[in-house]
Amino acid sequence: MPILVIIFLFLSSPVGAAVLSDDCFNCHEDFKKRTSHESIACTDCHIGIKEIPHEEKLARPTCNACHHKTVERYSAGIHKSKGLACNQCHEIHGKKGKGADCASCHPNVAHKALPSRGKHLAALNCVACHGKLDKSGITATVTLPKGSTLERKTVDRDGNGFTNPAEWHAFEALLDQKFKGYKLEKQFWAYGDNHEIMPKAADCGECHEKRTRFTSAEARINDITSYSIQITPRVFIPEFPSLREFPKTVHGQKGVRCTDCHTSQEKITDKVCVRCHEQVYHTYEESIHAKKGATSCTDCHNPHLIKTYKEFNAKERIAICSRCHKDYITRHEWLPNTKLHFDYLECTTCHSPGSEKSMVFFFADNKDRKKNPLQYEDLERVFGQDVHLKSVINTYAENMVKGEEIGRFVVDLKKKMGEGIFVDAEIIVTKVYHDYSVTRLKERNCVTCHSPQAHFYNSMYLILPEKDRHIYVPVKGTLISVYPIGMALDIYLLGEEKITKDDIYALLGKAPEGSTAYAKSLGFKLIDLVGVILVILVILSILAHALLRILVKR
Amino acid sequence: MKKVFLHTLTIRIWHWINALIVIALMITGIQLRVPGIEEIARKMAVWIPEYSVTILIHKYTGYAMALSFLFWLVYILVSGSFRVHYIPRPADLPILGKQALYYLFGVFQGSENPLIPTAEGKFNPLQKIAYGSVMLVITPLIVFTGILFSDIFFFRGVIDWLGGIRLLDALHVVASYLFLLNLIVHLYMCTMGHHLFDHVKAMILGFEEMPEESPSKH
Repeated sequence: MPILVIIFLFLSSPVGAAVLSDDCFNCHEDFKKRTSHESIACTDCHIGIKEIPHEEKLARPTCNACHHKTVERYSAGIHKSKGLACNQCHEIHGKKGKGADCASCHPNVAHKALPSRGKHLAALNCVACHGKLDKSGITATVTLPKGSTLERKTVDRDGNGFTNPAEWHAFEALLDQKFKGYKLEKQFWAYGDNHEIMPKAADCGECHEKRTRFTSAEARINDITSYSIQITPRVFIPEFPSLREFPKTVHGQKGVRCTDCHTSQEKITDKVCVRCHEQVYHTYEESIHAKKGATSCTDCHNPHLIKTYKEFNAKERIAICSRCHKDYITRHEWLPNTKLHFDYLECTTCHSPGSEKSMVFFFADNKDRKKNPLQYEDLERVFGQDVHLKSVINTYAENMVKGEEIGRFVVDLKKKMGEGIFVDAEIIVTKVYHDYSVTRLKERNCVTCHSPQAHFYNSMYLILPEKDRHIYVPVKGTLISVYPIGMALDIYLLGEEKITKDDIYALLGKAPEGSTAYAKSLGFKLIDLVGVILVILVILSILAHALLRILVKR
Repeated sequence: MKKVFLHTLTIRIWHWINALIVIALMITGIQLRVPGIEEIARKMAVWIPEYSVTILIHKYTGYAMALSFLFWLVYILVSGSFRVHYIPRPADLPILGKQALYYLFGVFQGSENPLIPTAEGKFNPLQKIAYGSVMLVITPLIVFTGILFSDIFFFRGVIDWLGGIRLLDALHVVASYLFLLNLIVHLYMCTMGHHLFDHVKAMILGFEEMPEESPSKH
């Protein structure tokens, strides 16, 4: 009994005499129906009410007292900084779980810049991209046709309790094959506290490369018995390998973002490229490739590739053209030693007369009768980290290397890396003119290239691999100074060894140094000269012989 | 008149096929050697195949030449014709000078040919030298270098060992000039039979008609 008295005294004392919610409802009848916050008293939020009727001006209720963490997250987001209060989205006195959704303020957001818009919008809610996710994941529910059953080990073959992509793909194939009519529903969910809305939507890479969102996935197999298994989210969110490398690409380095080009889920068209590459495109526009409508920019160029064209060697360049021009070898059968030529040339060496061509040299290793250009990693292993080969080769630190310097370096490199090391050469385009219209070249003349006068001998470069790029260092001197002499002669003297009209004139006395001296300088060209003279002499003697025979009637 | 059987059917067929091959190789070879000829032909409105086509013709006819040569070699060795007709004999030596004198002077004076071809020996010593060098030195050299040229990459090792493409090219061309010189003489000499076209007929029909009174080995 004394205890009851104490309790009574406590409750009726001014301190404990809290206003009951029911008392509030006498005036604020509407709030009685609330399902949200129904378990707490009005005065838990509306503090400062000591008696009824209460003072007219009350302090604004704050959510902070209970939802401390949420408010903290919310405050970091964009909505708070725009001055939005909790009750602008949440119905505090209304029905539980009801409130304004994103669309009430952001109706019909077009998401024009979102690639594969339909897929993304159907599968994801707003916070999946726009919020800082608290908890997120993927659930794939497989419902088998009635009565069928699938053992767990068909999904998890190695029995490690986890399904890897190979296992999942095999499982899907099995479903397609044996369980016609099955259903696979994928749900990308984000729950927990997602109150921090970011000023910019998450980057594509967060899901498709770094995988900081939707970090877990679960497959739920519903058959007679239902069970779940963990699975890698990679299976449901395709990997874009290009994203990893994209920052290293020319586009990436210049700050181009995915959505700068991928403004729709449509395939990228030339219109997108031309926004930046206007001049190049106009040249291209006039060319056969564009006019025939056969090729758009991305048919040849992969904007997600790290390399600029200067980092492609002849073989890699040919690989691009030969994706369409598959018959390039048979079409060039007229060219003696077709395959050999294509080891040293690329298509545009001939088919783009407007481009600047150069002879480029690079270091290669001859392994198993295959030429492998040396990569930066190979050279780093020998010369140490962060080596700048240019300064190793070029002792005078000019912006050029000399033939002798390359020669010395190769000798040194052979000692360090083995006898297979050599200087390889190619004749490739080093300054692009984007018109590749020239086909069926009229001038199929060996001497165009096989002569010391060929224009690309005036423009020679040594290609040096550096970290993430190649540099082109101009080469000073002659081809012979760079290349082993026998090889160099093979390259350019073949076509030159034919006698020309000028040689004949020179021999007939117009040469300043005199005919004999000139004849000696002709070298192998003399074959033709002597040969033709002999042929003429023999024909003349035969004619004389025949004439005599006719005269004596024999 | 008597008929002297000189050329077997096989040799006759081979000869004319080989002749076609040689002509094709010569013509295309000239165009390959002198690409400027295309320009001249165009100016003169004469049709010649494109350089690209010429290369292909030359290449594949070259293969045909290799086969043709191989066939000939096997045939003359197996048939014994090589032993009978091609190998120089001591008896040839005195005739060598006579034969040369005949071609240079005797023919105008109405002398008889010092050697009348028979089935047992159809070539005079000069012919033995000429045909022997063409068929056993020049042709093999052209065919060999030509085959090396057909795929420089594949034969790189051999070519480098031999002294490089440059030398190979020189050999091929020198050999073809020698071949051409021989061919010109050959074409003229085939008119030197009893009648103007006797030798040509012989290469078609197989036998040649000779006057009975001519000195023969019989």
